[in-house]
Amino acid sequence: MGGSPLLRAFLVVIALLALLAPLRTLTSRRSETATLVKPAAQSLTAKNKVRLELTSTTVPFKYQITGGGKTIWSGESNSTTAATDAELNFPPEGIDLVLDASWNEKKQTAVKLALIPQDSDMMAKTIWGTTSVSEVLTFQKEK
Amino acid sequence: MTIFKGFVLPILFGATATLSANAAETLKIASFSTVLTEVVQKVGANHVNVAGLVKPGQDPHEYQPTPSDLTQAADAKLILLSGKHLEHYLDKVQQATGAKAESLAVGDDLPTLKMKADPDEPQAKAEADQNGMIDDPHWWNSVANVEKATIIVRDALIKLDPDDRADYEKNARGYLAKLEALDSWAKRKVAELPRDKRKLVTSHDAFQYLAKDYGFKIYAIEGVSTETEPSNRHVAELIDDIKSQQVKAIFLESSLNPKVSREITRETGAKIGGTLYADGLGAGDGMTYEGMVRHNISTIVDSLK
Repeated sequence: MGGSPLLRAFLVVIALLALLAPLRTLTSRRSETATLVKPAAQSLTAKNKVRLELTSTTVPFKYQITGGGKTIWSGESNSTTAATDAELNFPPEGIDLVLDASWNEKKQTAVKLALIPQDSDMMAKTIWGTTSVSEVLTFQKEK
Repeated sequence: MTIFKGFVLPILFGATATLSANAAETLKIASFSTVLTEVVQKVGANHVNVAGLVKPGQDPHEYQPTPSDLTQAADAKLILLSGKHLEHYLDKVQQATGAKAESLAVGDDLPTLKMKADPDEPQAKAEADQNGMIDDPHWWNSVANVEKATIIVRDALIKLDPDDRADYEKNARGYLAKLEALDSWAKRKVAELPRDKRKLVTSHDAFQYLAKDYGFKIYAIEGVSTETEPSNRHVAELIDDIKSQQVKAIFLESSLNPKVSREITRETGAKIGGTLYADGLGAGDGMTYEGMVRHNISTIVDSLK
């Protein structure tokens, strides 16, 4: 570890400068992660776990449930009832879901969509159609 | 010359006679509402001759009939009015027509929402009830109301011309089917917007009926009339509301000066969502009722998403 103290001090300064760039990157990345996490946490708290149950008096039937312009659940069922779990934003003003369902047989059919949120009672709406139904259904939790 | 007498003249006389007969058979209608002008043209079709006295884009709150308008109204068999006290010039129309023509204030037979009367406007103040409320005249911003209006107009035409009942019923059915499809489209489009984001800030309080149908909350920059400026206090309260409710966009109306709206956007950071047709049909998309509704709903939903 020979050499002049001046040279050693110079080497220390060089080493510190070399560390400066990675340290800065690490610091700024950490703050970026924090910004990303915050909205994610907010949206999780705003969303509710909801069980969706769809019942049709005619089978088989095809269905699609849309909310906020996005498809939440779609498929085809051979039994009268189909069910799934979803996470939905459920503001106090209520939620609008678009229910589209169709079946092959030309027959008066009742289609019921039930929502069962974890934190409140079941809400259900029934609509009727001959070969299909297509309607916006509004659900609001009881205050 | 023989050919002229034997062939051309009978054709000319025949054509003239047919034209005169058709002109005599058509019902003359005068309409003081751009929306009702479209409704009566669709339902009456070739049985009516409609004079649309309030033109698309014209502000019905400020409209005053010209002598020519009053002459056309006096010649009409049926005068269509928006009703709900929108036509402040009604006495002039009645004087001009000598009450010969049947006046039909269509809006008066439709459900009424109340709104606060503008204290700076003498006419509104005079019509206000003890709570300072008046009938909101903007019923046409509800498609369901225009469906009801179509039935009222159909029945009025049948009463005046029962021989053509079948045509009026058929035409009304066709127009009603289009309105029902339009309402379904509007409901689906609005469903794209979560209910907690349905906050409508407009430069004139004209969308209560739309708000009721599609679940919006209204924050109006002005009261009922387009002729008055909002007070500083009202603007300050509105700015607080927009900030606290995190409203993303505010909307202008085609017949208004957008100065105040632009000031509010500067204070709140909300963007101008677009221009809406509030007072009936207008230029561009709003030349038809369907175009007007599609424009208004799409502009609102796409800006608030």
